[in-house]
Amino acid sequence: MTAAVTPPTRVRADRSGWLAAAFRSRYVVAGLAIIAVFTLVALVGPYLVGDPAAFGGTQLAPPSGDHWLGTTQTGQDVFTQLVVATRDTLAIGALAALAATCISVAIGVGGGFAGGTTDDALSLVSNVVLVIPQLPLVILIAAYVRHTGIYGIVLVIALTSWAASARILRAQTLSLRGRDYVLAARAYGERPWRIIVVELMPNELPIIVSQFIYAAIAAILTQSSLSFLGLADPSQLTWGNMLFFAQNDSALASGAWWWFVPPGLCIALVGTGLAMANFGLDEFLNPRLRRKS
Amino acid sequence: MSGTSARLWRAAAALLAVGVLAACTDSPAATGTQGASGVLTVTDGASKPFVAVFNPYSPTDSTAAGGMIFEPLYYFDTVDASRVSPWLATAYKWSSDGTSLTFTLRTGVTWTDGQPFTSADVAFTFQQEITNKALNQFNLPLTTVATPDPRTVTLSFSRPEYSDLFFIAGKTLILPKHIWSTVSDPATFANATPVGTGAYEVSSVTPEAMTLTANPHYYQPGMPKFKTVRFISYKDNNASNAALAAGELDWGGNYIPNIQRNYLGKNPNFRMINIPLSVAFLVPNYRTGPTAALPVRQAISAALQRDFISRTVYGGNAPATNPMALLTPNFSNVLDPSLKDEQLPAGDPTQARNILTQAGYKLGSDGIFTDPAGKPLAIQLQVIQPYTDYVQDVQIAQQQLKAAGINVVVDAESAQQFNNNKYNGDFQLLIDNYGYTPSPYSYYDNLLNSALAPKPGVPDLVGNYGGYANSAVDQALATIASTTDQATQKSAFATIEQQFVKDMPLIPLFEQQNEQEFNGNVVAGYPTSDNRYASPAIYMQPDLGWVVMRLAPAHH
Amino acid sequence: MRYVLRKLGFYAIAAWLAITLNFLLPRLIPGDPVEQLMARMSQAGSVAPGEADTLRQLLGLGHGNGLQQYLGYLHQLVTLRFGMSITYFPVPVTTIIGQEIYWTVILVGVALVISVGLGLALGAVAGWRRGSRLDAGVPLAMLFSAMPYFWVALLLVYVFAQRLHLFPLSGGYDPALVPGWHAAFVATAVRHAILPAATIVISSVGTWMFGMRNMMVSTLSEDYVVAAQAKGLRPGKVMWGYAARNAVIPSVSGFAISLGFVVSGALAMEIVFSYPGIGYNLLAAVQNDDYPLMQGIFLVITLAVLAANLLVDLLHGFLDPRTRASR
Repeated sequence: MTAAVTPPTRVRADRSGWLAAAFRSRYVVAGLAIIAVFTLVALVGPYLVGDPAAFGGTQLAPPSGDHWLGTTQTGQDVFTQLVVATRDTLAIGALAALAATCISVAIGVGGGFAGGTTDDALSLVSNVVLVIPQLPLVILIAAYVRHTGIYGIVLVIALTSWAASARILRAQTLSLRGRDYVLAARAYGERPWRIIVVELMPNELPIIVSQFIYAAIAAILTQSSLSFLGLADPSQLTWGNMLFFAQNDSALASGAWWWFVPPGLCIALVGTGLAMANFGLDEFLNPRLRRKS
Repeated sequence: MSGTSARLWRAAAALLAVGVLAACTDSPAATGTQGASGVLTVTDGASKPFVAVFNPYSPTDSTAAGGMIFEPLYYFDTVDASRVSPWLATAYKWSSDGTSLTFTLRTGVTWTDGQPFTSADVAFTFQQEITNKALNQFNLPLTTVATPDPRTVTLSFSRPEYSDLFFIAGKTLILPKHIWSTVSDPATFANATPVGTGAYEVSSVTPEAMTLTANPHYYQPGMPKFKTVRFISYKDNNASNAALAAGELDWGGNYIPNIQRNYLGKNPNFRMINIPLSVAFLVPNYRTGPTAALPVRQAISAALQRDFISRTVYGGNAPATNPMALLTPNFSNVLDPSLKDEQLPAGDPTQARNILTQAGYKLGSDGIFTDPAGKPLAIQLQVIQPYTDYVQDVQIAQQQLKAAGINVVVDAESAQQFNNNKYNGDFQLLIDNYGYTPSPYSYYDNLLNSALAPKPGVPDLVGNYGGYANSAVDQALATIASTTDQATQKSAFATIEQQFVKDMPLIPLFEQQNEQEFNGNVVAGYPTSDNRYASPAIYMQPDLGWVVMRLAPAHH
Repeated sequence: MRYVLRKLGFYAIAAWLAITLNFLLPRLIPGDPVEQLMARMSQAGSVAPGEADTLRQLLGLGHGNGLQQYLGYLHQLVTLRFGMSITYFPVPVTTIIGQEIYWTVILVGVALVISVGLGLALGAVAGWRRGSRLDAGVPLAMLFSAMPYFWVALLLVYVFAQRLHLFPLSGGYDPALVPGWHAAFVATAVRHAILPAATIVISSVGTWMFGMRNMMVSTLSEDYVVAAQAKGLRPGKVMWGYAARNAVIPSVSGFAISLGFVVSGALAMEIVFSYPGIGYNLLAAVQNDDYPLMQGIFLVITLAVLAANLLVDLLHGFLDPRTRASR
């Protein structure tokens, strides 16, 4: 515990190192490629297709030149819906994951660094949230948020999904706060928030990114589950809600696979893309996983 | 419960009753059940596991309790308000002032444990309501109950009670005194092995299935015809729809999307019967907000293409209703002849725009009207989240109204929030339906009576959520309730209907589809549109019991 | 010992907080049970004005102020009497939970054990043979675990039950039978359980697999594994006896945490297959504002998850002294 060490340089080197290395992984590249395609669709897609709400086409028509992915029970174009739904689905995933990660960083890193009673209290809160059944919480929160726009569902998911990741970040912070460079910074008289932002966060960034990605996968899946259970705003066009309507109109039994399969596949693909990026990231986060080449 | 139609929620409901008196006879009932055979497998749309509760006072008791096990004094036909048939009673008579009502009971009826059914049972049932207010389900102003003889019961009331006859005779289920008089708290008595007068007895109850068997001593000759009736519970409509399509269920009451392909096409003997029992409408807030203005309500009504909604969402099985929102032919007996040809507009954005323009609304450059005060015409339309058909309806309505220059914002709320908003009058416009009653008085009274409207801090859990108030309508309702004279009643109904058309307190949409599926390979004798002898709605008590005992195994 | 006491104290406070939240949450949901009942009843026949007040009396609602209700609630917990459900009035909450929980515990429990066992085994092998064809199956496993639960379930029903008629369409057993421990019933229960269990396994096995694979790979470079290999021990012994044994430790805490998600995850499966279980009852309780039932189910889940976590925490403390020191 000699205060003479000057570790910050090492930290910065590490940081650029893992990022560059991550990009060399084929998993990361493949994963990011999938995400990039969907992001592009989310950004420009809605301008390229027609009005997804337009009713009145042939009902339950199979895929054709006019309707690339056929139509729904109410004669809406499935492909148009799929494209337009990409935006809100991804936005919900990203925003909910961002919000959940912010909460978990504040509680996990903040608590872990502060230690003592603050830590005890915060970790008590995350443990309680972790063991309370999520479903009633979701329904309760959903009852209090306005159902216009996507923010309601974002808030619902964020508030119910941060706890596990806060625990992981806390554990990591506990192990880092004893490190020489943190102790050194403390000995120099650095202010706590500066130590967190400058010393701790950069070192935890890979874990935070990884938790963010997990949270995004979970948020997209949770959104679709809530839609399926009839607990999300069905007037919002998302893949989950497309499945909700498909399911309620017995799409599969009617043989309308073109309506039921694509939204589910899109959810799975985005999830896979994110998981691949994370998997590649893990390899570089943990040097032992790195392929000996 | 992923949802679908209003139907899903309907299932869990149970309503029941109370009763008094009766006479009895010692002649053993002739039974038709010696010939009972076969198994009828049905789903009443119950979306939760079965429990052995056959207590008519429980708001969530088994659907089978009302009608199949316990019976009321009369059957009120939901598909024809003019038809009232004897069940446990054979005659009734009002006193001249309507404060007392005398029933003559059927003879030859026994409880399933062999005890005779008498006026003491009916008297006990109604007396319980007087003694224990928590059992007075229909809030009847009962004062005394008398049993002049074993076949006669007289109920007395603190005010004329003509208008509640349906609740007294049609909904109150008669309980056996010799069992229930020993129950310390009838409110919390599960009654797992019920003794009733009905055509069926409980055989077994498991979370997934409830099995009933024919009462071998049932008093109606030749009934029931099925030896066994088994109810199956499903947690999702898709599961029960699949079971119907596979022929595993013989009677179901679910809406099946694309029914031709998903059900009717599966077997030449599969049948679908659609006899609507309720009317769907948009409920405007009559007191505040944009919908308080009559021209706005009229414009909305004029712009809606109801046929398109019916075709797109309901496969054409939800035809437009009339401007009085009066279900026909169910309530044809009270239809004002001068209104019988009245129709709702076919849906024309131009006509809607004209109505608004004439009322001083101005069409803005964005294609949306502003009201005379200069505020853009934006209306929040609330819908209950899990009812996907309603969500689709309002999404279509949103587009049709936009074409007419009215901006509608769809607000889908959870069931709890929606109900809370509705009961407190906290909305601008919402989609709802009402009906399932054989009483046109009850229908209009709940929807239009100004006394029921929500007040600040006093929610209204019955109807008239929009706060409609019209003294002519209130007066007409009071007139109907104070007489049994049909001519007087008819003219009062005519007043209500004319005021309804003039004021448009509700924006009528369509007749709510009520699709019932029957497997003709197994079951015969169900009501059809040619033979509307009762309402074929498996989720309704006591109608279910009335129909089930008339169903017969199909012969091939 | 100090560590154990501290942990127990911590969990006691967590339990009290959870119990108190269980009391508060239901009451914050808008509306009350009578509103939900009236809404449903109006869809199956007309309701009479004044009926709501009668219902309130019948159900015995609204006695006492908040504090009295809270104390009454604590008293119920201590005496293990949760009152009567409103959704199933007047059936006691304990009866409903008792009737449904076996299905959840058995089906979800068995499926979870299969999923964890399979995932860990596959992960261990994939990690051991890094770069082999099995390792290339990782993206496929990712795809499976990123598919929505209910979507998988619906596809399985459609293909294997509706089209191929290999399995029953729905339910937990043949409705003509009365549940009991006899051969006919067990046989039908098993047949009905296969698709639901498959749903859970398919959607969750991938997660266990990656976690294990990565831990395995990092364990392989530990000195004791290298030493074991150098000593010439059989590869199978090194793989299972040395590497996998240590690599599995983090999954144990993951398992405890995941117990909490069992109920909500199983809910979608219960709905699609109309399978008996506690998840759907929780949903129904919430949607009906059925406070007693909601609280009962809450409590069962919460205490089960707390207990599992406590157990894991204590195990960790003994297995890995470093954890103890760092707290």
